[in-house]
Amino acid sequence: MVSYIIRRIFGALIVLLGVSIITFLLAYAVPADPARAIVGPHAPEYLVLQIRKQLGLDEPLPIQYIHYLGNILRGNLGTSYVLNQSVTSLIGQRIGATGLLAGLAFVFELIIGIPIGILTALRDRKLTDHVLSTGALIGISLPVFFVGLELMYWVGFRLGWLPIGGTGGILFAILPALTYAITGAAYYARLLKSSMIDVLNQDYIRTAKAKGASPLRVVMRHALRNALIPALTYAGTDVAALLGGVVVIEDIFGYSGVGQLAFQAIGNLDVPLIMGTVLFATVFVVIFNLIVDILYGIVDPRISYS
Amino acid sequence: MSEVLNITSLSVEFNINGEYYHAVNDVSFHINAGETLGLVGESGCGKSVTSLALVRLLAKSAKISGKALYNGRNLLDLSLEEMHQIRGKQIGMIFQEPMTSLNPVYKIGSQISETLRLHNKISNDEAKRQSLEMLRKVGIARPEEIMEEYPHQLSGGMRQRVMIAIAMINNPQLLIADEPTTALDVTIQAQILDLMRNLSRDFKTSLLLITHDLGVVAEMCDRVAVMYAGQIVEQGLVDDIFFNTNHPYTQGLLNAIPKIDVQNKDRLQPIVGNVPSLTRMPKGCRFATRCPHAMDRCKMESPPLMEIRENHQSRCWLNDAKVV
Repeated sequence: MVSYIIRRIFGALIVLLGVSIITFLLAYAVPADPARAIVGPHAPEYLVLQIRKQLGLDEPLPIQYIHYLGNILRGNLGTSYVLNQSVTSLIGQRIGATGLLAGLAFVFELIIGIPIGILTALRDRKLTDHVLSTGALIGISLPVFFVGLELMYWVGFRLGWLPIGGTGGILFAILPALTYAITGAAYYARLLKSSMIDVLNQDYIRTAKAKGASPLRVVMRHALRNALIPALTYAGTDVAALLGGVVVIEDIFGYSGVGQLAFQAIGNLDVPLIMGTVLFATVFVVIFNLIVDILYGIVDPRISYS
Repeated sequence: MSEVLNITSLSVEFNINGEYYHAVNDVSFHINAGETLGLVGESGCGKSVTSLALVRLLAKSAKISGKALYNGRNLLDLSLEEMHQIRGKQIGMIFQEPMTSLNPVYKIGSQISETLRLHNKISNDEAKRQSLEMLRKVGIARPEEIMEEYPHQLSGGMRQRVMIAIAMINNPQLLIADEPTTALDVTIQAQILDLMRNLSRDFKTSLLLITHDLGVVAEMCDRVAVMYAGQIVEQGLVDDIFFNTNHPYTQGLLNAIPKIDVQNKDRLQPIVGNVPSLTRMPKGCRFATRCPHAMDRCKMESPPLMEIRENHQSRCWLNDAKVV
């Protein structure tokens, strides 16, 4: 187990290196000049050149990258061109808000998705199934910004139950989290439905019934744990999608988290900040995938880490 | 002798493309206390469906009629709640597929003690102690370690022993074993059969043994019911079935067994043809198309189950001809 985790961390470092190279190249592939972006379109040429020299942008790309990498290894993610603060502290200020939003969104997804998955499996091809499955299909199809605006209007404005936008505390995170969860939960529901139907036809379910277990016990104890294994696999990839979704959702709700920071950084061509947020997201995804893989072994004893 | 199980006119119908077809047709048999009844027939003859129907483990879409009296109570009339109390407590079940019949995510110990705890108010420790003792009884070596292992760590034979432990731990009056040895290799088969025979003798359990293997029948059963295409075609004491064989289908099954003691270099005699499909059952005797003795009457009229001697019935017009 320990050697497995060490191997995974080593693998994660290689992933981070790859991601940093690709992001670095993409940031520079854009036909725009960060130095010009900083000083504005009307600034004189000598100022642009001066800034370019100051930021080291006049050096060849590989050298720039090596400088950057060297700084990262010393724990320095650089300074935002536009906000003039260190990237580490910018991300650090917002990491809590984004963590809260992402965590809440994930919990909502499971709270909505798992019961619907179980229910539609048990009522397969009956009215309950048709109603909920259609609902799930609609959920998958709805764009995030639409759901977000509707929630803002109905729950935030008309009912006045929750703040429409802004940041601060868990109340402000509920609507953005729900926005993501409504579209995301449908995947868990559909995945769980099919794996549940499959599991309910297994021989060991017949054994459980033959033991005299009640239908509720058969489903919750004998079937659910087996049926959750494919959903767990999906959770690993879902977290990557979650971070992508958070970028858009934070912008919609004016929620100042890492996603909004990334959104602004891209608009400003603020290369250090783009790099910082992307690397942050990568670390997050890698860590979460590792957690999923470890959970895998706990849920399914047939998986070993040797 | 008291009857533990009495099945009368049990029929099971399945819906195939909107129409109902009989998978089990008017089947009647009984099992006395402490007795072993063999239910024999080839794949698809309805023997498993019969056993699943009487404990109500078939899909809800199956239409079941007739009576299944267990100690005088009709299992087919009981509420689901009453059925849960009977399954696993009074009627134990072992299935054909030991490799897939245990839940892969729970430890062996918890799967055995679950059956105990579902039906008895006992402490964790007591359930564990009894499970351990049961594992010993079914002949598992180093039971303490096996308790903590998962199904995938066990061989097929060991898993079937665990299944037997689960089925027998509440000391049921009736054990239904559906092809319990089919998936196991021959040496393990003999051990499992020995184990089942000894346990059912020690626990005074009646046994409904479903099999297609006449060797197993000869070794285990007191009485035999032979099924063909959803009907019982011959029923009697095991000796009568083997030595006073009446029905041509039973005779066909016996002819198809390879013998090593006979100086006969002939090929095995298979029963020609196939079992008729559910949707195209012949009007007369269901075996007529494959029967070497078939007469005109067989194709027209379905024969009833006729008493040919005490405790021996057969569904064949040849017997009627003898009487006439």
